[in-house]
Amino acid sequence: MLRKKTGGVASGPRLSSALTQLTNGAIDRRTFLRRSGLTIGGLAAATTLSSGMVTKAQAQTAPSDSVEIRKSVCGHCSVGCTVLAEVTKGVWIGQEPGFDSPFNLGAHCAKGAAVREHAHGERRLKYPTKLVGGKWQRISWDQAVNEIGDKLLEIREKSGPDAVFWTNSSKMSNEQSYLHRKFMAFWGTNNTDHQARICHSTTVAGVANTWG
Amino acid sequence: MTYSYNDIHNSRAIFLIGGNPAEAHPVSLLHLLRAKEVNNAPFIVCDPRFTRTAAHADEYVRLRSGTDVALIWGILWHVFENGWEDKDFIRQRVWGMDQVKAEVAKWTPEEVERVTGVPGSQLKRVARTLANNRPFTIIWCMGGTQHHIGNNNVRAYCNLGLALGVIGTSGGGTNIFRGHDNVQGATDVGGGNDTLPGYYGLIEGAWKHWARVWGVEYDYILGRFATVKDKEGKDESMSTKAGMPVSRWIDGVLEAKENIDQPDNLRAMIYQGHAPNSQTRMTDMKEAMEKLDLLVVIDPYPTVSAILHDRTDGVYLLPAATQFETVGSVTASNRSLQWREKVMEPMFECKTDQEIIYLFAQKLGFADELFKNIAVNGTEPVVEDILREINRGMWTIGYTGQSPERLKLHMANQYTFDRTTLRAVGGPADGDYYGLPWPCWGTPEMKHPGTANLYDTSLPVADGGLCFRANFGVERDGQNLLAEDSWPVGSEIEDGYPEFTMAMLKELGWDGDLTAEERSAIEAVAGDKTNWKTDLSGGIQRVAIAHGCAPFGNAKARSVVWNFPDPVPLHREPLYSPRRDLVADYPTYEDRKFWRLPVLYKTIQDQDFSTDFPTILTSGRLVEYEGGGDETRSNPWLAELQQDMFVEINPYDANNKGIRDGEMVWIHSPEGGKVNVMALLTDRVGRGVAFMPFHFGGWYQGEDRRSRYPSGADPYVLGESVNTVTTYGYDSVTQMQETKTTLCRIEKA
Repeated sequence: MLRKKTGGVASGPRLSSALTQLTNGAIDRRTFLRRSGLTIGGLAAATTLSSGMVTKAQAQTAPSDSVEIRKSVCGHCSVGCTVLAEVTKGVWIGQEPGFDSPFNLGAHCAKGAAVREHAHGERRLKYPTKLVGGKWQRISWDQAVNEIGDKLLEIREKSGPDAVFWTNSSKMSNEQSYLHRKFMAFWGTNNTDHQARICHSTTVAGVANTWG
Repeated sequence: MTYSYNDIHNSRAIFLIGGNPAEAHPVSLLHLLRAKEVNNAPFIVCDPRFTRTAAHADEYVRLRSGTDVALIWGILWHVFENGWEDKDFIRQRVWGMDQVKAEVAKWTPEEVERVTGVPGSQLKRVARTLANNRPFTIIWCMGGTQHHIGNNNVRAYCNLGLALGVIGTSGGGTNIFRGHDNVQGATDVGGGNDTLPGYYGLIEGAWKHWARVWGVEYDYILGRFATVKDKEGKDESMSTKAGMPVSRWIDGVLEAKENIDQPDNLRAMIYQGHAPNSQTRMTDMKEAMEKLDLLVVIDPYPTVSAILHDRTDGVYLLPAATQFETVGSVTASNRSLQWREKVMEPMFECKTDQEIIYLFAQKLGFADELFKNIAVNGTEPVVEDILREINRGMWTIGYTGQSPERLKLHMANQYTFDRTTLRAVGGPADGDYYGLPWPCWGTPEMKHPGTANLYDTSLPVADGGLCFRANFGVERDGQNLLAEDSWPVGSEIEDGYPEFTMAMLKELGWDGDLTAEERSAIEAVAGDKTNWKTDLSGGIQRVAIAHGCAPFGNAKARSVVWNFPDPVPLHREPLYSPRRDLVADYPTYEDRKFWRLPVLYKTIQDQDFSTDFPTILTSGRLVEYEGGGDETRSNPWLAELQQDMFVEINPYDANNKGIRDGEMVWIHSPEGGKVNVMALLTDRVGRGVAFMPFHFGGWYQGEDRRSRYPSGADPYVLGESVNTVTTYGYDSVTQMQETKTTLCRIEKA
């Protein structure tokens, strides 16, 4: 739960005082990140920092060409913050916010600072899994695609293509989402939809019908 | 978003309603606070809850949840009363404002206070602040949209901007913050149930256009769809009928077959990249999941779909790769496209979504047709080829100029783009706006820079300028719908005009500018009837823009949307209203049927739940988690920060019930569900209001269902889903679900 830590008393100008102290020189990076992180940066900044520091320590001992920077974009909201992923031998070892991005200017929130764990997370679904008699059973991709496909074709035969609802996703890239929409057209139904329905569908309809 | 987060640097005031970006879009606060600190822009936040965003506000307006239209009309009442509206702007670029004015006249300060709870004196101050600090930006999020009158709320906000003339001016605009990394893009490329990619709709012409782009016969596509008999016994293809919305799929399963407008009930549900606990009525959802023949989850995490039901068979979980394990473009809220590099190979046995789609297309027998223009390496489609196909087809909103090469160039040269205008200053992308925000007209070779601010007539169209689109004809009730005395700088037509067609080019004598290739491509589509959005050569767009014109015409914005249930936005009481005295004055709609399903309004509002369920329940986001929360609650860093599902209760209400901070309570829903959550006593919510975040799952009505997850794939943090106690209610145009205003009863556990 979020709990308010201050007593609700104004403690003076926020940004300006942080910047004043910064120019006085007596501030380390950790403190700066904490202070410039608005209300949200504290632990997030610490998270970024620790992974960044680990990387730097390694970079001193390892050949400099062993760490590659790959540019990605955070997946947690629509601001589009650039994430710089530090990769060595195919392993994502650290991340930094993109300072060159005009959107995030080197900032991250708690979620953005933790995206490496989203990919490298140990709680991910690891292989195709099927529920059999109430127990999860590992199966192969071949078996999964064949069994699901056969069932879909059987449903199509008996109830028509509209008896299948298959979501699209706001988490997909443009290319994936487009391909999925096209896939549904070739399957033969409009029973597909994604998070915009429950997010900004009224905005899109309202704005499009007002502005044109 | 009509502009960008960055353009807010130019705002003289910020009007934010129904949004909490400090938690939902934290980095956006960089830009908002810059306007506040540097421009001294007054920051006005309207919300039933004193959010972390409201904590930054100069003026906080606490309205009763679900009364946005009344609040906006209450502000406009003062605007019109004092003659603060922008009369020139309205005359030139707005149609129907007189009808809005007539409705607004009914919303006196007294009536507004009776409905919204906000004093007239405060709204007069807000109105004066906005009038004196133009241009101001208008920002809204789910607090405005997720209501059964969501489309009315949104159009009321638009009218506030139109009346005060802040639309189409840098620093103004409606900057709608979207919630997911690619919810903008997925909507643009047709992820919804009611349109093909690019908002072409589902009419026959739209299908023919896309069949042309895909290189298949229209009849082939038609043959894939079911055909039904219409009322007169004639054959009708299901291809032109909007599908069911994801908010209602459960009714596609549970509703009696004779009540739904398709041949049979839904029998299979496939959730690909979508959490279930972000949808309302989870008690009904559990039943629907149990009734299905087949339930499939395709996701990097098992999601609540894996464990909500009591099924023992017929469920598959397929591991999808994350966005970091593939390449592709995503469209940020400001319509900029950014290209992601692949960070790492897919973990474990995960596959990318495009490969999964390929495998199923192959199994279902249409892979050759689906991938006709798209190369496939083994079973992995080439992502760049997919974007090139998008470029070849999405002329309507200008997704045609953003080639993979241009997007990659922007990502590699981010540092060359200005932080406020988003325009590259020198460097290889000189003059482009960052990420080529759509519309980026014409072919990639035409090098349109993208459009950072929509409808801004102070720039030439070739430079990112625009006007309002002529999408609704040229005349209504004998009045001119086209713009008057207003056009983008450099336009050779100095007046309003309709959308461009080949016939119009000929009339203007501009068709001579077309190349031979463009001319034959236009001829092949529909001759003189080919228009700017079906011309696959882009020639019509190119020539129109060369003459300074917007391909889509130059018209007025519509204050009144005559094709919607409420042409002028009206206040209507929530279906579960705590104010029975107001239900009589501001009733909801009659029940209707659309998008294949019956939609209840009056039937629900007629029942009085306000005595047994006296507390207003609303919901929202937390900074630590996102969406249904499965990914973020599985992330140890984030999970540690937010370990308990909770309900915010005003101390006054809690003390009256003897509830102490940190105690467990039951929240009961008028539709029968209940959740067991921890009480957080706070003045963030007013008296009689409770708030719960929506990211939790894994508990169901008091039962911890952790043991049902596949071993090792259970999120670190589980909790009750707020949507177990949310209720019926769908927007009258889009079937957006009502999550922001319902009723509940709080009891000590």
